[in-house]
Amino acid sequence: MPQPGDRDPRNDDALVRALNSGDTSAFDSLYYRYRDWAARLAIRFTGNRDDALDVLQETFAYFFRKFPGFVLTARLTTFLYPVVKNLSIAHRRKRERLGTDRSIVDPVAMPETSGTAQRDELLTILGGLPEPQREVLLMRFVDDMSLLEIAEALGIPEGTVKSRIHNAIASLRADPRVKDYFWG
Amino acid sequence: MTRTDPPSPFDEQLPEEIRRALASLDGPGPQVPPEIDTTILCEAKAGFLRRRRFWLATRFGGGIAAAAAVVLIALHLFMPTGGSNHSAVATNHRLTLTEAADINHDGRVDILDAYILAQKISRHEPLDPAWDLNGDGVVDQKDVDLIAGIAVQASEPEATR
Repeated sequence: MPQPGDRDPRNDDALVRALNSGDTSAFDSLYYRYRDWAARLAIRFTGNRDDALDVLQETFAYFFRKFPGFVLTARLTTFLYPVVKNLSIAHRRKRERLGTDRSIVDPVAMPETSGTAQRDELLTILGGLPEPQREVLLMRFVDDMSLLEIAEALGIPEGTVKSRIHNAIASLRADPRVKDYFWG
Repeated sequence: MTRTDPPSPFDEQLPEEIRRALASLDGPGPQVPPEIDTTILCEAKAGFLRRRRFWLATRFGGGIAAAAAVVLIALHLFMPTGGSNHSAVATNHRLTLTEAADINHDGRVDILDAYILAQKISRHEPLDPAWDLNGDGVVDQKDVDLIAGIAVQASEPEATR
């Protein structure tokens, strides 16, 4: 079902300006434009639907409190990414303290089965990558963020982002179970 | 120490099958119930309106000095020489200004009146000629600044006699 964010032809910069000028309809457009991405990101970090929805609410409450006066200096995903991540980590830690988190090593949002043994193996291998490498792979190849955006969102140098991606892909190439994917 | 940098320009790519597997690590994402959408947006808008009043008030800060000067000049023009009825006339004049500046008729002049008039001006709504507080023939930002100045004066404690 199309949402206001899909129909609004204004880019994020224009929506932010409109909001600062008092056009509250821009809230709807911005929210629906990034809602599903933020929800998916929240599930990635929390591994829990209820927590993900709480994180979604807290993220947008935090973001919208910045208006009026908010200045957009980068893509909105670059701004929202650390917000979602930090809120999600806080929720996970709360669950751990309460003893309701099953296991910290449970891969985030890892589907139980994919339907094929080959895919399941691939998922296991990807899930086994060091978390910093897996995170930048997801940001680059799933969230479609540029190297600079990843660096800004994570607060690390761009060179570090390149290294992590390079090392992750090098690990995959070297894995005998995966290398054939690279050779076609 | 020599470090081997990744290839440049950076063009590391993933085979499509691995990219799809990576995407499936996330899963489809949670379905967001409509009531959550409504809650988020309603709270956002309510909070925004509250903050915008304060934000506009701080923006007017730069005009408060000018508005205060206009008020003082207006008071001076209405003050008789000799000074015995000084404060009475000034008070009467202030009441007249106060009544006109009470845009929302809530019995007091505050920054909300300035905000409301600013909104009416920016939205090109019909403007009451009584809101021409500085008497220049136009209801505009100068009148908004004048209301802000009155609001500031009204909020200050009364001077000791």
